Amino acid sequence: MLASAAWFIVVFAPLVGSAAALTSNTKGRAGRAVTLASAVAFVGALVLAVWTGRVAGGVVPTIGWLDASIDRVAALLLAVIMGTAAVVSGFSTRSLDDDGRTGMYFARIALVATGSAMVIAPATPVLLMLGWSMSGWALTGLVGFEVGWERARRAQRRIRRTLLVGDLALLGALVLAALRSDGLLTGRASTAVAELRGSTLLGVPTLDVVMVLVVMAGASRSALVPFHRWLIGTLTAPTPVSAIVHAGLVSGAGLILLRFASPFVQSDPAVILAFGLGLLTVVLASGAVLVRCDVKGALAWSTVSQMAFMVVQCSVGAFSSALFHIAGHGMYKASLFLGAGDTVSAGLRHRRRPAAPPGLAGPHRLVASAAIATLAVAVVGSAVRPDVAPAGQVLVFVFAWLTVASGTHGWLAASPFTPLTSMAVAAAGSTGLTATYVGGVRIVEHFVNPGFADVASSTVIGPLELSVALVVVVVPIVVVAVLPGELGVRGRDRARQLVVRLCATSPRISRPREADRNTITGTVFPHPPASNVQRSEIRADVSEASRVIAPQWPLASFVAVNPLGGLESLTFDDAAETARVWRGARTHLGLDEYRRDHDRGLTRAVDLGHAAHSRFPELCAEDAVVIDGRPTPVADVIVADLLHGPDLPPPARRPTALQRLGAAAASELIDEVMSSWLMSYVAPPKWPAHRPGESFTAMARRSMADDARLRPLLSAPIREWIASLGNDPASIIDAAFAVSRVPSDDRVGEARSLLCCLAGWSGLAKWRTDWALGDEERPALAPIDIVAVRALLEAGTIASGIASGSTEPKTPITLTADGQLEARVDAVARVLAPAGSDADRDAIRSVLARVPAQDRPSMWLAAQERALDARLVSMLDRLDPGQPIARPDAQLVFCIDVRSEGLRSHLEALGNVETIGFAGFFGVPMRIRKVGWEHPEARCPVLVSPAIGASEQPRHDHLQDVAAALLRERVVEGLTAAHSGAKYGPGGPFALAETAGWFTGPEAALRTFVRRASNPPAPSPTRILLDDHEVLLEQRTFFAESVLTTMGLTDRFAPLVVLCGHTSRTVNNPHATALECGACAGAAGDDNARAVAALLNSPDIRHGLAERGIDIPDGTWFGAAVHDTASDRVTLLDTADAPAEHRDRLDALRELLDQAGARQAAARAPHLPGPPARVRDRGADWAQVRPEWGLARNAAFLIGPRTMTAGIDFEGRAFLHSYDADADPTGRVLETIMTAPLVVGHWISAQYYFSTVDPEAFGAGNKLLHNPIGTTGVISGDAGDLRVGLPLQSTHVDGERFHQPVRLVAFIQADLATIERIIANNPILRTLTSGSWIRIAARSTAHERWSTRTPTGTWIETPRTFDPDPTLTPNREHP
Amino acid sequence: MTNWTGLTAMARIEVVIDGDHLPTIRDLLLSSGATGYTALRGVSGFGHGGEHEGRLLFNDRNSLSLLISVVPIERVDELVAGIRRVLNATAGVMFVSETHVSRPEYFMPSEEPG
Repeated sequence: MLASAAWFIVVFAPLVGSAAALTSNTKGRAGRAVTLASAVAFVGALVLAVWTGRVAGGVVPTIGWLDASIDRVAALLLAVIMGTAAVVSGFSTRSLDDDGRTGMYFARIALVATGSAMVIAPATPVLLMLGWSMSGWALTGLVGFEVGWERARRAQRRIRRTLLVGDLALLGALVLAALRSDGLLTGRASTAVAELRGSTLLGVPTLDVVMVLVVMAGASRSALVPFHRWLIGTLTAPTPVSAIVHAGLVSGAGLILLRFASPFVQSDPAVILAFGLGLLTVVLASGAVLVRCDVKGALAWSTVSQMAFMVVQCSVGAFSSALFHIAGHGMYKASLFLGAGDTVSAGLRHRRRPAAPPGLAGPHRLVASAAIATLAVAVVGSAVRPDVAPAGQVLVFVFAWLTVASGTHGWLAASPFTPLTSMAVAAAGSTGLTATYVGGVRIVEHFVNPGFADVASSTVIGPLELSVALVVVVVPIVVVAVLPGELGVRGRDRARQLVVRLCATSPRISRPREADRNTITGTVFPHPPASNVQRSEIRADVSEASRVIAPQWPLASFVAVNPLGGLESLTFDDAAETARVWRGARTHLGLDEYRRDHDRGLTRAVDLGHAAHSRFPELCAEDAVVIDGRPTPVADVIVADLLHGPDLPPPARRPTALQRLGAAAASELIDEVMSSWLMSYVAPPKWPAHRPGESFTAMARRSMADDARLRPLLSAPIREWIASLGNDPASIIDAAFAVSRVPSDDRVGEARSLLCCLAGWSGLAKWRTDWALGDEERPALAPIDIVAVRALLEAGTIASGIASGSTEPKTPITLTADGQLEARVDAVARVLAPAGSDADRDAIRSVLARVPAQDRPSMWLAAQERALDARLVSMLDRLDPGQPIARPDAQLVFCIDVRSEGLRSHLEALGNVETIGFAGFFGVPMRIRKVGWEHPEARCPVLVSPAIGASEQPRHDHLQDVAAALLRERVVEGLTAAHSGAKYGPGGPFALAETAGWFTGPEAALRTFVRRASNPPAPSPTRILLDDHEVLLEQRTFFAESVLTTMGLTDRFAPLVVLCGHTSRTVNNPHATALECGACAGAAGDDNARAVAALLNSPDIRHGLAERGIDIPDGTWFGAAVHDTASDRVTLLDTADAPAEHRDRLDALRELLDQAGARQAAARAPHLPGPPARVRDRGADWAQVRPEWGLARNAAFLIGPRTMTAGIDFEGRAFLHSYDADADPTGRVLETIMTAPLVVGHWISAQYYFSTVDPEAFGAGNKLLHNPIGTTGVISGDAGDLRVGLPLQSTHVDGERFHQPVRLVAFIQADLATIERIIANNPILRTLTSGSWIRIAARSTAHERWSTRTPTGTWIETPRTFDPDPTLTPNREHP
Repeated sequence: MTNWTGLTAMARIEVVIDGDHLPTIRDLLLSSGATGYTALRGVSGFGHGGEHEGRLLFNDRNSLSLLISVVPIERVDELVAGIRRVLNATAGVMFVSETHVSRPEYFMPSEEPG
């Protein structure tokens, strides 16, 4: 009875959680319910494990009608699946903490858990079948989490189809078993097996039929050949779903073979089938891992190979090994998936880590690794031997050997020790790991042995058969892998293509017979080769075309850019129109969204009226029209249209030549294939497609001949034609456009369309071309390569007769939809003339016909901006211009970043300190090399080239600490290499995953459930100093002078001046660098702060400054600090260098910073979902996809003395740059601020703007779907374009916008004539202001009114509100 | 073509262009077989497009640059064709003149581009 109750609790607790999740409508409640239920089930499973462990025979009987007893196998597996479910639910609760509509998500997670539990501990065949189907069905639902995503829908269909086959097979097996026997699942199993053996079906023993069906069911669930393609599709579901799928559901084959172990081993056909499928899948999936460079893709294929390995284990009778594998691998994979976001920072760390001294040479390393592995296996094997079937023992020891050999091979390449020491360490480690593995298998085997008492005999696959099979499989692989010369290269290419083809999940396209193809010949081929002049023109045209694409920096150093930056020579409206046409992207909010904002008070009626007047001054100046018998001003009609007119249709992208022929599926296939090539090209996997030094075009051309995915598109003659072309992209474009019949005057347009098909990858190529010059290590990938390859694929497809018709470019689809006019008239008439006579409608139509529909979002935007400016002016005007603090205890210089604003206010309110806003690289564009780094890194805005080197130098009294830290780093690097060696080595991952999971699983639980505080960094044993050996004192003095003058600090020095850089310490976050300092190229600002502080403390520099008129008192000391914006903790750095007289001041300042940080965190808390008490720990939480808000809601850039802004709460929406016009008579300082920090501010503002208005085209979409590609970037799901911009979680919360998309406004307190002169002298500022990319408002002194500069260069008074208590955001709950 | 001083006649191409278009010009030069170029960043002046300041303190990107390259005369046509296209879409100027060099092999493309 008690056992039955336990069974019920364990199996059905998640189901209760599932029901609770469905009925909960409070944020987080669904997640907590399922987490709790799974945790209860986990505890129950542990109790059962202990209980079964104490019972002789290992079986706890349940009450009669349940007809199933719980054995140790079931108890162990239940604990693993329920533990994973609890971790995944706990993780998801925080990952989805902003989403109030996740009930169904959590319910499905719980169903996967319960379904798996019903398979693990089935009471009856009916429950087994129900659990099996239910978990699959729930998974299919989870894959469709991202509604409206075609790729996910396609994956969903594939999964449904594949799992259905398995369901039917299992159903067939169970029905047949039930008809021909009694109780296959119960204690009477042996009788049932005998009965099944005795009967036949169509002459075949029923047992064989049943077990073959069971194997097929398992193969489908565990993604074995031929069902191997479905698992990769689950990557279209959020990350935690992958964790539970890979930890539990996909182990279906193992679960069911363990359950039917006894009949399985007695059916030779089933065993041989399972063994064959398993071995085949191991080979194929291991190859697939090597060709993937995306983290989740490699993990998914690795799971497929692991599942296949597990089936091989079962087929040789090593069931306890299989059990050890299911549990270990499940926990290992779950933690790897959940922590996939750490890839980028791990890659960055790897890049920065010191290289080890050269170790053993290649052949020696191989021999040493083999010897060490043999020694380890021999030592362990002589002491411990698992008591599994003999073939199982072969598996255990062979794979233990492979794992430690591969790991040792990796370790010996990167170990920091001498070869002898390295080998000794390797021998000890290998022996320890082998002992852990073999010991682990043995412990599990001893624990569960009673469960397999009746399958003690080995299966038809004995040690000999296994060894022969391994040799047959391994020898050809080794031969292909080591074959020298061109034959080897071609063989490996072929093998790679085979793997790619067999694992492809691209959309299917029916392939016409060669004879049926309508291949174009004669008129086009041969096309005369392009002349040099033509090629040059094509290059220039493609360059022009690529302006519609913004450069995309790799995620290792995220830089916010204006996505339409290449179009800045146009006005904002024209650039937006261009983006709508070519990118098919939204450039404004929808009218409905603007109206919702209007209802929240973000705009007022007067703003709308003003927007109408300024957009259509002549129209609005006309006489009023008579509507409903009343004279109605024209502007009112326009405003009524703004408020009530129908929204615009979504923009459509201008199609390419192939798309114009309607070949959507072919185009999609080309996108997919090209994406996979590009991915593999920029982040080469272990088995790369390109050869050293090969350009992307060359690699792609070669692949076009071989890539089987393209066979349906490219006929044999066309492939020959492609092979006959050279590798010059311009010549290829010339030939391809001739085939596609793209006229030369549309070359720019067509190239644009082609680039926009893969805008993300094109952006990366643009970054390489425009910003990463001189990086000679990288092979060529430029936008022209992408145009050439895609143009060639399209031309080849068209010429192969896949699509036919006219490819003539059509007029771009614009948003001027005349048909919409009547709908707009109707909508306005309903408001202004409810009676609605024809005359009224005519009057309305006469106005609206002159107001293009697509101008309405622009008017709304202008109205929002006007309202914002008005609120800002009213806030600034309320302040009495006071005097700066006479004698501050300290001056703190912060980055202009909007996140500094709140902290500065709190500091000023709490203490006698003055704060200054300045670019966060503190004016010294430097390139830093830290201890042990091989390559230096830039620490300055990307607009500037680093001008001076800096290095990290150990303090004299900490030399040993630094050396020890360096050694630690190198050891970690060596261990990482060992892990990587085992992970990718031949046969290495299997024993690795089995063993490692038992450690990483509990660690994942700790990371999920044990609260981690975000700790400040420990005091550094080093200093950061500018290089003085190569830069003259005079130049360093110049830097010091320019820093102080630009920040306006040339006198009135406080005794303590602290330069406070900022960082954002987050974990498991691919977009971590997007939260770092934009002025330091996506890195933390503390290095600059430390270097500049040291510079300003240098006696030589101070002497030079004094000669230039800047006297820093002897009693003034410059310190450095770093502000962690995720936790709002500020840490003072290098305080050990401070003279003794400053110690008390530093202590007081530290306390002040603590208080101010706490206040700032409390002020941020209400804007973030989740418990306010944990707001400071979000960065340290690996489940958190929104550790902080970054620069969201930024809106204004204020340039002036602090007296202009002090005491005003800008809600973290303002960049604050200190500036004193009186101290800058020539305007040089203002020019520097306007041409650099303001421009960077505009980039950031534009990045947030466009990521908000179109999170799919300009933003990176949902973070939970992100799949990192090395340190380059992320894709969504398992394939596709590189994601650009900011993730959804940086701009939106719970489906609502958090960021208010408006263009940046600069408020400058300076002489208007000076501002005008600076704008006139700097083309970049002329462009930004005349094109309405930014707005500028100014006043000469604090006593004057603010004026706004119009794009044409006149100044008009800035509007103001008459709100007695204006705030920047009218409704604080929302933007 | 060698003149009486023993110098070889070649073409000098000078382009004043904004930082955003610099990579395009560079690409055109290199793909047309130019073996090198000299770039002067942050040049100031006045012209068709109005005033432009010289070097800015914290912005190397948005000031104008002057690129100078020397190529064999037979390469001029293709270079001019490409650069002319670029200049159709942006502010900037191009000067082409004959020049004489003492070591022509420095400026001869080593192989056909592409």
